[in-house]
Amino acid sequence: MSVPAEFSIGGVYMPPLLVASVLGIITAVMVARLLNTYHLSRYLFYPPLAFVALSTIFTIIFGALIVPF
Amino acid sequence: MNHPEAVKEFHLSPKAKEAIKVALAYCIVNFIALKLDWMNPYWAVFAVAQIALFPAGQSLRNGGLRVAGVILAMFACLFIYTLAPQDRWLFISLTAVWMMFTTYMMMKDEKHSYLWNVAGFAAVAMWAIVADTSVDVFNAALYRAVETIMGIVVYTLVTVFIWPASNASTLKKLSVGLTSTQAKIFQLLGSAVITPEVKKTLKATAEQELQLLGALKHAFYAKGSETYEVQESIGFWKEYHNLSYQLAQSFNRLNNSFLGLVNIDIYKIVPKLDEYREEIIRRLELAQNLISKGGGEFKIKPVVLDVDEAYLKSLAPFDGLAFTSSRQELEKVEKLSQEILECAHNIVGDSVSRKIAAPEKQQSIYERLVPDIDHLKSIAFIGVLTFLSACIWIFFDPPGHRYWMLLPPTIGMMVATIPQMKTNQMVLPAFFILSFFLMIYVFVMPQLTSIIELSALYFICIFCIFYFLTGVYQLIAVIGVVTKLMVHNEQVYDFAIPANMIIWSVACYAFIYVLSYMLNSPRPQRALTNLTRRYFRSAGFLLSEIQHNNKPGIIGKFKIAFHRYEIRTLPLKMKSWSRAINHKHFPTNTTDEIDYLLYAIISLSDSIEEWIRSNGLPQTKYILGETKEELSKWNRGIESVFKNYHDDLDSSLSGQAELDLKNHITTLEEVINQHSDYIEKMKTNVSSQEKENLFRLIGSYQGLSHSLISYASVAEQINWKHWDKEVFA
Repeated sequence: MSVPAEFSIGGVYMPPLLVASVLGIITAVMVARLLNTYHLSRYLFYPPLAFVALSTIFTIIFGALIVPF
Repeated sequence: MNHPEAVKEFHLSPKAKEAIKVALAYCIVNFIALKLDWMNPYWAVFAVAQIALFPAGQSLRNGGLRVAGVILAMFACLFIYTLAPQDRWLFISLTAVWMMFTTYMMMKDEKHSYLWNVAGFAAVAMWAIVADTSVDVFNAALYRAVETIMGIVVYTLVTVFIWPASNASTLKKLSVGLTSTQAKIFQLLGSAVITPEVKKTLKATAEQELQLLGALKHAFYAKGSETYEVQESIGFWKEYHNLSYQLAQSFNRLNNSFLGLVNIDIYKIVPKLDEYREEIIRRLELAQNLISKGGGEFKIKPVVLDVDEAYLKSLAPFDGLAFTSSRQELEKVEKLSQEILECAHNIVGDSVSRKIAAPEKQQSIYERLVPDIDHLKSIAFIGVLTFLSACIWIFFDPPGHRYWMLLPPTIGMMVATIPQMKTNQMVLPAFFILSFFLMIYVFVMPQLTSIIELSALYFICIFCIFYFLTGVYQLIAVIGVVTKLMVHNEQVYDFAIPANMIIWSVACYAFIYVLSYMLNSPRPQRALTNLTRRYFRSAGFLLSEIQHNNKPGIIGKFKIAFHRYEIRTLPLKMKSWSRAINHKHFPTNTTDEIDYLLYAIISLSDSIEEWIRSNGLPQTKYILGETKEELSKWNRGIESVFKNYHDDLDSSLSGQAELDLKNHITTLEEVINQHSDYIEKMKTNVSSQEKENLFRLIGSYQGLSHSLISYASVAEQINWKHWDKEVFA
């Protein structure tokens, strides 16, 4: 199991949760755009809630696979 | 063009001038605050940046309003600190109540909107200070007030004395355009043959008239509206707007009554109608000339509507009634044209010593007390936002810490007044723009060694923000300069603080966006459909209540006043939401179609208002029971159409409504024309005013039906189902 470690960008240390959540939100934005483009969002009951859920899921996925927090 | 000529011809654009003025004020204020070694000099520059974001009213008066707002905020801050120095819940609750009060006043009191905005945001800014003792609190509040006032005074002086702006030319241009449009409408209304082409032009011109009326009203509060030149005659400008509005309503009624004259030759009743109309048009053109040329002589030629009484008596009673109504309206138009000409002369004339317009009509107690649902939602939103922001600080203490008490309520005030402002769209720009200023803070600012270099940096940043950016980007960039590039006399550079502030800003916008669901759906197409349903609910209520309840009690009157207010104000709210729709997601509904829909709703509102007024007019007791019954049926028909639209906006009703309208008109004509005893009584016992009232009532039903048909035909073009589909906003 990988140990949580601060993320260094140009010598500036970032908390891993911050990096994972930024990546998670950016991915969720991209997925939401795709769903809009292909008119798939109409099948969702409440897109804002779905967006929060997607952000959380992607953050956890990034946390588990790339930036452990 | 050679080089010297090019230099001579060079003029700065208004936008460049504005950007230079803000940048200059920012640098001067920063210099003074640093030179005097005041506590936290960025407070002063913060005031400049904040007020520069509101473009309205660069004048000494508005400068005074801002100062009054800060003083009010200081007293509120000290008062609440005194009441709740040790009780955080009481402190937070009182802060929320103050924010609710100032936000409400900001929306309700248009004249002093600025004062209340400053009173709100300056108070939270003072509450966000670090203070351990009551002396610290007092000092900090006082410094904050003094620095804010200094910022305001410098900004006001700079904007008033360097390239002062005036909107006199805008007012003139709009007034001339409006009067010329109204002259065109009057010309079209009197067309001998109403072809579909004329109808189309009339509709387009009426829409233009509506736009110009709105723009003229808006211009009273626009930038430069309080210069001496405009203020000197502001009363007359407002009277001009009021008269033009009355003229528009008269045209509306005239159009309704002309619909009843389709079967008769009006030139036989009024042989000199063309001369009469030409004089009215001449007066309107003269008024345009007076305003555009800034003066001149004018002479009002008296005109009388000569009627061939013998021919009038020979007409069928229904046609006679229709003409009585048209006659009254034509005479009103003539009177209004004279008043408009006199008002135009007063606006431009130097000889008028006292430029005071007639007092505005007093509203009833019910109209004054009626609440605006959206205003109530807004104050609930700002109260909850302030309270929860404080809770976030207390319980989670995230990056930004005590500033959670500052930014959300400040931005929240803007969102409360402009709910279309979507703060989720600020998240990504905030991340990049604020990071850019963080880079300047880290790499450029430590290299600066003097106030001149610092001022140059500030000047360039502020100029670029106000010249190149607009809307949300401008707002975020201003926050970036103020919060990231702040300096003290003892400056220490620290990466962690501004980096945390970026997280704080982004989190604040996301938080405000979540709470903005309290106001309406942040998805504009959803908000628009919600408002449209609300509109038809109110319209249906009014038709039912006014028709069936002749003598409403206090609650009934209050309800009627409320729904009338809704009918009056909802179209404008819909317009604001429609502007925010992202047409990329809804390509089937074009902006033109949505505009037509809004104009149809505005026209429907006018028709409902006219119907209510006509219903309130005294009617003759000789009015036939059958007529009453027919009108009642008509009313029920319109009411059911409103109900259908409330239940399903996608209803297809234009064909049925058109058929119903024709049936009602035919039945009414038959009812009135077939009763000779009734005609006799009408001739002897009914005054011409009562006849006019009766036809005005019938005309108002006709007008309402026509507006409804017009709305129905436009609404059928809209793909409502598509708007109801879920999308990521």
